Amino acid sequence: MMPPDNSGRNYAVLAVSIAVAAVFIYAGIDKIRDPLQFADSTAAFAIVPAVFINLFALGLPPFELACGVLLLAPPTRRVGALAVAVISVMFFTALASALLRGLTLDCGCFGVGAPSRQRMWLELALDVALFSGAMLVYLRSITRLPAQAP
Amino acid sequence: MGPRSQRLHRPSPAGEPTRRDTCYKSSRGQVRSPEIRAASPGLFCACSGWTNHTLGPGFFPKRLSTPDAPMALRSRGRSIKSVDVFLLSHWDLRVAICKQPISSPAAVSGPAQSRPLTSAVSSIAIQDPTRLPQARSLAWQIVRDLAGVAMLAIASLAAGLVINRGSLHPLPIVYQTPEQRFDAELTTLVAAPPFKIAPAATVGLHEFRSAVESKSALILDARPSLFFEQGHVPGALNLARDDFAQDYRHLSLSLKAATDKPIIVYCAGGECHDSRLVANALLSLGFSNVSVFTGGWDAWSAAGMPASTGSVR
Repeated sequence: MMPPDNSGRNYAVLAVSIAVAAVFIYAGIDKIRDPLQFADSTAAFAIVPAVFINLFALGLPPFELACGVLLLAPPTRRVGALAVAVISVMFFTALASALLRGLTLDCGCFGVGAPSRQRMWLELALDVALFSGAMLVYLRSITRLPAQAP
Repeated sequence: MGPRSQRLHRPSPAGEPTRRDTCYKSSRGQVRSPEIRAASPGLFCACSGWTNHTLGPGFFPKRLSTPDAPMALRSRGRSIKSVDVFLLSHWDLRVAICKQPISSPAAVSGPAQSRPLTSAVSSIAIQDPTRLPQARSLAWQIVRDLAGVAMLAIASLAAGLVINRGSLHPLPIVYQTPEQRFDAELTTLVAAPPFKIAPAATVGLHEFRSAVESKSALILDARPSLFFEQGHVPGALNLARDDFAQDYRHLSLSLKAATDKPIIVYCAGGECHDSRLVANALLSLGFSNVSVFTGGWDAWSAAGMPASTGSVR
């Protein structure tokens, strides 16, 4: 029996993985270069307690970078996709909270920028896109788990 | 047909439907019989008389949602109708239950195309226990993946701390606000800064424009140098809040020469408060005529005012 031709779908998942990975690798490297700026951006959200802001600012960029790298490697793509999904939800929650509170700030997602509510809305939409892409990759990966011996 | 005591037929190694070993599988689709556990290769359909019907990946339709939903399956290009597929667990999509009966053993042994499904048959295809994982729930796998994400987060934090330790300007473990950092910078300029001062006066766009055009005031840009280089008010000097102490030392001659002139500080505008911090610092450093252009660069550029680019210090 010939297996069904899923090559188109596989290529689509691969393309989404690469796109999401590129975004996270870029964002991670950019934040690693200037953790102080990212710490200030994090503090502007007034969500993370001051004691944890610097730890967050130091830990998140390598985490984003790792997510991107894991997404590129097929054996680790599943965990990478789930990590991206989790972190996208976190970003979305933080941005939505800031917008609801009427804050105008630079989220620090991709380097330094001027505070702008329009840009915040765009980044909110980007979070939705990243979450959707990550979930697509994750669900696709988890339904095609490799066989293992019992 | 109950989930237990479902009869399974083991294929021979050669794939011929010669034996009818009976074994049992649990309600979770896991093969209990050691014989079947040891059975070999690949996925196979043990639907009485179809025991050699080896199935490959992708045998079942992709969208398999409702347990017990009758589905038309295909194998090797032929349709097997009236077969129920049980979604026993996430990885056991390959478990199927034949409902249609087979008429006679002769029909069973005939060519695959002519085998009619006419007599009662109880069960069928199992997973190959040597290739597929034991039945595990989707939730359990997600929990495991989340644990992996948590470990990744811990490892990333450790990596971030190591990178920070090796950097030229490491962050302290506890966050300091820009004001706190600014105060710390000021202590490098004056021994005991009395930073309790009245807020600086403010000026509007019209007054600011007049001061710029007449060059009657010293204009200071409190934004980071990156933004200053991209565009600033003509004649302005960059006294960035981020690098205040360093910039102040660079500009000390210009600042001392302008002690008799008013100083106007601006930043990005809107909710930025770098200009206020810098203005207050200048007041605390002995400059008396310092004010803030609250509209900042946003108001200046929005009004179509001229701009200069490049680094000027």
